Amino acid sequence: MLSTLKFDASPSVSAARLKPLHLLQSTSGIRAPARGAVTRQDGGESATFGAALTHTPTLAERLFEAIADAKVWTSRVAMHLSRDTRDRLFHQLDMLHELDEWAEGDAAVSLDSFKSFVRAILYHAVNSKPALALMPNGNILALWADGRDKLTVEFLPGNRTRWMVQNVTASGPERTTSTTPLERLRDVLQPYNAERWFDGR
Amino acid sequence: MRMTSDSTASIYTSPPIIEATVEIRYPEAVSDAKVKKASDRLKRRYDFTTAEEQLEATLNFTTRSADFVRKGVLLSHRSADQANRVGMTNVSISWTRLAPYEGWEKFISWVGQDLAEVNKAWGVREVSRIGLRYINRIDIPISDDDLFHNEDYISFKLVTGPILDPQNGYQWIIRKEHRDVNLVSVVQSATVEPEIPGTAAFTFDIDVAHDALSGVDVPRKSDDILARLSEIRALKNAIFEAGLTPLAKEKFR
Repeated sequence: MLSTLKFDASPSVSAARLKPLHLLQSTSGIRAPARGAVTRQDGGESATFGAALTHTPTLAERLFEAIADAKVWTSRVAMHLSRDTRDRLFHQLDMLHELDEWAEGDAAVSLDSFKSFVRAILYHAVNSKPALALMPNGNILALWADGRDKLTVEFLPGNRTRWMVQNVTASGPERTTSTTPLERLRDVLQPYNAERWFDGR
Repeated sequence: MRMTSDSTASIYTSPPIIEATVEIRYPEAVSDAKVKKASDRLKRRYDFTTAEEQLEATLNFTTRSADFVRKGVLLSHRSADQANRVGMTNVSISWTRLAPYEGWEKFISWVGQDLAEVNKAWGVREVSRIGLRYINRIDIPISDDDLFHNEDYISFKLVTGPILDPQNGYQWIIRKEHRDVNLVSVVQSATVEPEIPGTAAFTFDIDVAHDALSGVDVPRKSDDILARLSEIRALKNAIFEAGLTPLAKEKFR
């Protein structure tokens, strides 16, 4: 009878960080999370948990995991990025986390900030190649230059941005700064000719 | 049942695959030393290796005591870009390719090369299950009416009638034995958090396996396993093609 399933239909393992459906749990083989279930046994209650034994991570391991998390998250949107863009971002991430040049107390890249940055690239179809820096709190800072004019955008968690434009005029340099949702970034930068930075001119 | 053959499978230049996994399970556990031996053979192919010891704890609240049972090791290898990863335990080995997916030929060639190395360490073992799982993520624009018209993109869907339409989200899972080809499929789909502003997204997750519980022996030798994976892939492709609409597939071309 087709309605009677005798297979153990537990799915193949998955490394995706998606929220799994209730019926089939994702079983990431890389960093197994603690998992457990409470059952009643012989009149008493017991709980069984499984967990991976880990030690306190070293600085190198913490940096590695932060970069790895960013790269794995990128796989969710990789089909919308050109291979060149993806490879460049990964290279920049690696360079920003050089162990030899790491300042004690600095935070590794914030995944939420990195998400905002990549989302901005996708949403605004940014095809230029900004320089990247890492704020001490782990936020991504992207820098564009057009002659002496400069655009600096700090990508904040939650799809927000803090930006600063330095515009050199006949009267001297002018600086404008503000905070805006990333969806509005191109609109609010329009008075400063956003396309010269975003569209790779 | 019609199945898409390897040679006629559609080619998509921008496939929505965010994760492709091959997994082989064994009914008998090998020793930790053998897992390490196989892992050592693969290490040079990867940039990073991690080892974890798996423990299971049973807490008894009545007696306020706990029992710990060792559940073996998990050795993982990853490429520098994190897109290629292999994980092995005492009873299984899996290969996962994250996006960007580079095509079946490259994927199965990688699995085949690693499997040959692993079999040098383990020998030919009885296999209890060969599984192939593809997780697709489809990002679609939110329409002018501020709705997520998933029905325009996925052919398999829950029919609820007006009381639950329009839906704000969904999830479903289907299991099916394909007795003509001795395979079982587990197909699931759900709305997921959007990653790109102005879009909505859903997953289309297809897992097809040959399980020893079907009563048909699972191949053991590398070449036979790879040949079986090609057959499994054909069913996976057929489900993919049937499950998505032409509008969805147009996005991947």
